[in-house]
Amino acid sequence: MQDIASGIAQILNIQTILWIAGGEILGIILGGLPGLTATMGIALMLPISFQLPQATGMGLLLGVYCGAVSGASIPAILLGIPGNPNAIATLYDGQAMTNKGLAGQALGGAVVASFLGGIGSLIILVLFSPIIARFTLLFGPAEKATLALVGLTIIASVSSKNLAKGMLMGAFGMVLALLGTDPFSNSLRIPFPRLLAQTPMSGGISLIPALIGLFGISQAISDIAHVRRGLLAPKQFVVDKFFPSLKRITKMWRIILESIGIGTLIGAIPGTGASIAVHLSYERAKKTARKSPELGELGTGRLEGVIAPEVANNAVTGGALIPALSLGIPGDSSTAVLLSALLIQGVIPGYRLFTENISLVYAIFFALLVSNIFMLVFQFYGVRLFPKVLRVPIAYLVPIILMLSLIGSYAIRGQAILAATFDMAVALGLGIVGYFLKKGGYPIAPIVLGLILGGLFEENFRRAVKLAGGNYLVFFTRPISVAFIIIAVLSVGGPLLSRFRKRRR
Amino acid sequence: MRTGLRSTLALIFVVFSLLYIVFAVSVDQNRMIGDQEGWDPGSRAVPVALGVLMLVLSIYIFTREQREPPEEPSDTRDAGARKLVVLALVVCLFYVLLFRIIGFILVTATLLFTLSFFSRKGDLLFRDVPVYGLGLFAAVSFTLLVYTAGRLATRWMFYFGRQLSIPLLGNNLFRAGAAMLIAAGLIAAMLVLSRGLKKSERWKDVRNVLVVTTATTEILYLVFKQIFTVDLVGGLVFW
Repeated sequence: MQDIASGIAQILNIQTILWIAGGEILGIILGGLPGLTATMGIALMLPISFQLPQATGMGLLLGVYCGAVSGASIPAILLGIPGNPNAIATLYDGQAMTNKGLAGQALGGAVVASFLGGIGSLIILVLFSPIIARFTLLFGPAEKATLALVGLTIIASVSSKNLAKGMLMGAFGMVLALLGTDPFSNSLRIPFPRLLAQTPMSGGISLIPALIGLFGISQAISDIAHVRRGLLAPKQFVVDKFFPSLKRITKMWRIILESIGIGTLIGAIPGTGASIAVHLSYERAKKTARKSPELGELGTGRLEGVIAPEVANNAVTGGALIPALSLGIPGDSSTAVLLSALLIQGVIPGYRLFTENISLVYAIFFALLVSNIFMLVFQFYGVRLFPKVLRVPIAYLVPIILMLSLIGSYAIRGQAILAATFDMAVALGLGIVGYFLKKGGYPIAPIVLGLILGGLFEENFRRAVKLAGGNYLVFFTRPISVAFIIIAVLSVGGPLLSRFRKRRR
Repeated sequence: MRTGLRSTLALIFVVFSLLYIVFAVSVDQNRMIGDQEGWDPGSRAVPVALGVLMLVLSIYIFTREQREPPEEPSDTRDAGARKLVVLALVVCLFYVLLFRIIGFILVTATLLFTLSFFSRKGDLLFRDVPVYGLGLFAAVSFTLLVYTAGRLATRWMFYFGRQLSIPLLGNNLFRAGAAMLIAAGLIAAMLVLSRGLKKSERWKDVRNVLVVTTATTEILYLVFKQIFTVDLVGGLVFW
């Protein structure tokens, strides 16, 4: 009880509340601007979060996360352009409702759905993450190494149409993570060690500049190419009669509950993310609607078609935090950035977090609750205002985002000018790499997973082999680790097998 | 052999993997401290394995890319978009290289104005260069003016705070807020004075870019330097 009170106290203070509110507004705006993603918003706010107390910093990032996920529905409904992939399924009925003159109903419905999804998944997060975290007590180095492998293989297999590209990116991320010093002997592991020993390169590549580069800079460069095409060209739309009636929402109870379940479950599976959840929930809602004539056919401008994906994509936020907090494996790229914020502050996810730092866990839960409430409040009052954000010329926004990315990566080690400039160069370098990789059809999320899990995998792999007296088969002698290996093999083998079957047909 | 972006990237990864294997093999084979038996796989093991995995995957991807249908035209096939992307990359590169020499205020204002100006134009045309030059000069000068006014105010507040024992004047957040108000006042004054530009769309656009440049530079300075005490290099702006 004392821990819960302490967790709530870390959030219920004016400073934290204001930062969460600010993060929420920023998130809604970022989510509302096509091309700017939740992950990018969180990555850009990371340098600021480090300057704040742990719980306040996490509150700010969660605010941006929730805001960006819900804000993405605004351009999807009004312009027919999803703010980010999370709102793809909202587009089908949302756009049709706008064309029918029901834009206000669609926007209001999306707000209510976002709130219900966020709160529903938060309840599941609170109930399940401590249980899963307790399970990690059974983990030794062999289990931890194979768990890291599972995270990498799952995200590699689901984040790209091309499995080989996903795996290559995961390996590339691990390669970047291993640069610097050997974790056990402290010997240098960089090219030209004699020449670079005295440079910041000897410390390896820091996670945050890498994230800012891969998500912020690469996206901004890619958006510059779109400036000419007038992606954000303002469109005329009528927005009035906000919010559907409570009776109408209540009628959709089944769709809402199913979408919460789908969103939370998909969010909890590493590497899947909201773009998969929204399609699954939309398809499910279609079937449910077919069985209930009073709900109508989806795809023709029905509110149910907006509610289902919006509940699901916000339910992903809580779901994705389940493996992140309990296992240290992020559910999607946004939670990968959130997880890195915790890791850099010395917070190790897993059972120890739930026993030794339980007040922080409660603070995170409570921050997520406050974020969802703020999201409802700001979207409720801002539903008339936020569509106007779409009229801001992107030509002004992209340079600001580039600037914020460069200065943000500099600020992390902002007291040491040489190291800070190196971080800025790392962010720019990886931003350019990320831009070309995206253009070439390579997924970025596995690089981030590689960066986060690379060190974890190597340390535990070497420790497990050493403890087993040099026996490399140790991973096949422990049941949990064997189970993880099977999951890893299935996650790689499954897509290969289905592709092989398709070809034979 | 195809030479599209996808094939080129795959080839780059083949070369990178080979170089990485050479590097991984050359890493000193250090073992864990206290591992006299030599059971630790050593610091080379994982990097070498990753190098081999990357090589196999990149060769596979390269061969597959050869069999794939030709690439679809990308956004940057448009010459204007391509020029903007190249401009963004070059300007950012110069930003990182010159940051420590020229200093935060000057490089930031230059980067922001350059990118915003040409993004608004949607292309990089020679005929826009004189307007750009004039606009850049005005933007950098105005940013310096706003910065200097904020700096002076901050210093005076600090001085009087100590002299008159007013702790509030020494508070970082308060001083940053005051500097922001001064910046907002100067920008508002500039907007009022430039009302005549309404008739000329071209100059109105330059003025808007100038406002975005100055406001962003000042906000970044106040947030990171004054509130979070990040050491943003002064460079040529020594005051």
